Amino acid sequence: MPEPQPAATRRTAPLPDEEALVARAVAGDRGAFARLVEHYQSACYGLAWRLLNDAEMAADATQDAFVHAFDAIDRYRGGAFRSWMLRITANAAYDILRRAQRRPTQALPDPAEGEAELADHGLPAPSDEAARGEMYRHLDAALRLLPEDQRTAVVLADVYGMDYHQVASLTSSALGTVKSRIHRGRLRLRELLAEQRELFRP
Amino acid sequence: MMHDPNRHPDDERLSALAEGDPEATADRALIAHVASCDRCRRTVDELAALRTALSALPDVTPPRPLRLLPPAPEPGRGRTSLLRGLFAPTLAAGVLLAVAGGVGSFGSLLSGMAASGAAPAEVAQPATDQGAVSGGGQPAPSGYDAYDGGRNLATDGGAKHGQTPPSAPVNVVVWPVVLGAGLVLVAGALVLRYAVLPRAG
Repeated sequence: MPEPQPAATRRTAPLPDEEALVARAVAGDRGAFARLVEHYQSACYGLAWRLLNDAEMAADATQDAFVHAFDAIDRYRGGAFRSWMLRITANAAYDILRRAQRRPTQALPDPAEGEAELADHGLPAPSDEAARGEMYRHLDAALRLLPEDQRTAVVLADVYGMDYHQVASLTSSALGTVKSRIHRGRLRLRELLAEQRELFRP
Repeated sequence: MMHDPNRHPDDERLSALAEGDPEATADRALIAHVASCDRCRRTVDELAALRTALSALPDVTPPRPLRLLPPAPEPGRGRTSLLRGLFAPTLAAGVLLAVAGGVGSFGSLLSGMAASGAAPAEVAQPATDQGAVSGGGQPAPSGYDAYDGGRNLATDGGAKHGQTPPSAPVNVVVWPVVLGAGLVLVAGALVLRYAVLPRAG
């Protein structure tokens, strides 16, 4: 059973010179912006992929997020650059989600369909060794089985640490609705992972 | 919310407790129940562990290379936008000149006709010469005199006195030139907009 690695190795850590890079990007330095975006592209893509359940749409959402971030960089008002990029990515993913929902021919995969095949969902290649851990595979596979409203709420709040107000605003939902979706999503995940429960015991 | 210690609280309350929701952690009855109930304590522990695991889910490498930057503005594009910026002012200036030239030409035409009408015999005067040519040699209707301002009456007077009137020949040449320049500007602006810019893209 692989031991979970320290978070820094699995999640993109801030760049050592990030503050200076952000300042240069805000001032219009394209090279500095490109370095920041390149650094956080796996973080952004992971969020889009978990929200959209589809590799190609997630790549499109991430690409859209880079363009939106470039347009908005002069309005960046401090805070963690990663969180800022993730909020923009979540918005871009939601735009794609809404467009996909308006086109019935391009409907999103039905999460219930995959219920019987929890073990293999054709997950994309993880970004590092630790991600190959079974625990994360099972977690991501289980997330894909959640109803969409619960999945997006759990992904934004529990996987990416957004507060409930941010989740409510991103998903255009009431605060109470968001809390309820998160709780129900967690309880459903716990059921789905009943057999792997020991995997995420400390 | 109070909880009967003999009844299990709602699972969503346990989830709120597992994430340290202040409202749930302040609920003494809930805390007391969880402390004494193995089933609920296990649920809270597992939900807390689940949250920890979720928060550690790794980043994911995109399946294809993504473009990090929108295309850089090229020098050619700067020229294009400069040309694009020229379109409206050029068109406006052209229309203004054309209208002014048109009105001026018409006015000098009328004054020329009025002069030739008032002094049809004095064809030797250069000014009335022009006016006679453009007026087709026909005398203007007598009513035209009434519409002409004092300037034209003075011109008439000048012509009658055999002096070359200063304004008449200038107006006769300048106004059509202004009209022509205006039309050239309008045409230039339209060519810029519909022929040059689409190709410069």
